[in-house]
Amino acid sequence: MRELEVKTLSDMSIKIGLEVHCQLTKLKSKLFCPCSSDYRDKEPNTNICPICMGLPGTLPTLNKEALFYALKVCLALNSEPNKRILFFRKNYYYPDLPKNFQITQYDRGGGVPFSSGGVLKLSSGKEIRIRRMNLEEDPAKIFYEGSITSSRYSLIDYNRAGIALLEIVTEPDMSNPKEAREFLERLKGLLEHLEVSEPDLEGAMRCDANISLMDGTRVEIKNISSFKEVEKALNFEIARQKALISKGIKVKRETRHWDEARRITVSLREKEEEEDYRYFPEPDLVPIAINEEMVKQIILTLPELPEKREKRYVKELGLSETLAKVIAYDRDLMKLFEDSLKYCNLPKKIGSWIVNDILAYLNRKNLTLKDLNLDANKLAKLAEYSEEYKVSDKKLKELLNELISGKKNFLEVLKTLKKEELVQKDEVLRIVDSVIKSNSKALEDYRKNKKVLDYFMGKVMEISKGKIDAKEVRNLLKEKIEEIIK
Amino acid sequence: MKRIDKEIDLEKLARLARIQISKKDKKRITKDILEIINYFNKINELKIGLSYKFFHQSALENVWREDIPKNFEANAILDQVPNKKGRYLRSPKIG
Repeated sequence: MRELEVKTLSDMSIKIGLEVHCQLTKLKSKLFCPCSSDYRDKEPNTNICPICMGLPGTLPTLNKEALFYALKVCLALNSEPNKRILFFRKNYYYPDLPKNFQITQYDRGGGVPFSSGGVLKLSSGKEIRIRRMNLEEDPAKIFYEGSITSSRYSLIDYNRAGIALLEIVTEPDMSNPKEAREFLERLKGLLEHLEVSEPDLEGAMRCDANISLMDGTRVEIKNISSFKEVEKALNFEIARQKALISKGIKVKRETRHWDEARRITVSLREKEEEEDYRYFPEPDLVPIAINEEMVKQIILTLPELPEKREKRYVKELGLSETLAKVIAYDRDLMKLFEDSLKYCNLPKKIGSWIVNDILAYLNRKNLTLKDLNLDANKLAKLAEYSEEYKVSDKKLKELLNELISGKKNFLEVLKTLKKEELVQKDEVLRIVDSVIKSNSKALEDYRKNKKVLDYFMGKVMEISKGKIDAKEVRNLLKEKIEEIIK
Repeated sequence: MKRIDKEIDLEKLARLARIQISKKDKKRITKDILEIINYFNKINELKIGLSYKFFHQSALENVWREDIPKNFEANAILDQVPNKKGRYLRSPKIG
């Protein structure tokens, strides 16, 4: 009986939905007031004003660019923006909100979300549906004197309060933590491509996840700070829920908090219910009408999207699907790739280097492209020289890796390339000469039958262990032999 | 009009508002809140639905500003704050 249960447990279906909050970091000012949005590394409470501090008598005004950025993301995700955008007040009393309410959007009570529907494709081709997107303001950051448990006070920095946030809610379409992570990576890539956000900045992209097993109770996990953490938190939660189910205990519907340090989720004691937020229309902000003209204008500003780019790389540049996928969805790699192609026309070579050498190196060392001192021009030059110089692939890889890791600079690599070529040429000459000398019989045969050249070729390649260029050997052999038999 | 006279869950309201209510005040506040709820019940009798037309009095729409940062003299606000630590605002910890 026990075994049977365990078996069904391992097969059980998992449904994961995500709620992603992404700051539109490319904006210069906050969502409803002109305070600078550049708050990182600033002294606490420097970017504050009577509006974001919720002082009486102040009026919020929407940042037009924020609206445009949100529309860009909508269109890129095929999410339908609502014709009339309304803002709502979500009321709760917590020190991170100076006004005791957050200006957000609401899809009930007469409200509509910023946009509805949409889809983001994973590399497997699986489509993750977007349920809705909302534009809202970020709350403040809270710190504690000492530890969170022992501290009696909260210290509040309102620099972040009022920063524009885009909330993206998916349908529960992901069936394992890996898919959830890939969704986030793809979404991050898209936001970077659209140039509305830099999700790598600390706290710029945060995520809550909800998960249910076997169509059972839905559990929400909050406070997940990074993509890696999402996968860990979900894996923990799956194990926890499976253990409960296998013991015959019902999973409780609740909100849990991901404790990064302890690597577990813990139940949040108390959380407001939906009705406790007493949502109502924000009377200080008038409705925004989205018209066709606006949408058209934004479509014109959309860059080439990763999906389209991937197809172009395969069709027009001849990249393999694997290479195209990796490069097209990573903004940094894409930029290095495209920039390199401005200096040389060797997409396959550059593409392979970027994925198989550069990215592999970055992953190994846990670095990002920004940490390397690589520029597109040098990469392109190296690709061109490598075509020109007859250097073995093995040697070339070695040199490339030395360039990537910074062990050698570009000039040193070039010098080595040239030297290698000379050594190679000497080596080829030496082998060719010795093969001709020690095969005088074959040389005689050659007079009658030119095909004997293949025999010499075979010998040379055998001695050099295939490390040298065959075409070059053939030419050289022919030249030498013809010279001798004359 | 449907009047609500039964006991309301004042404890929960107090919890949501993060305030403490003394026994002495409880009776008076309960009475006040009932008044407020019943006033809204009266308004709810109007059959206006949830149309956004009723959300705003003015016919204005698309009021926005350009994305130009302009910093306020933050210290003028901080000077008004009664409880601080350095440049942080300090409040009792809320669990």
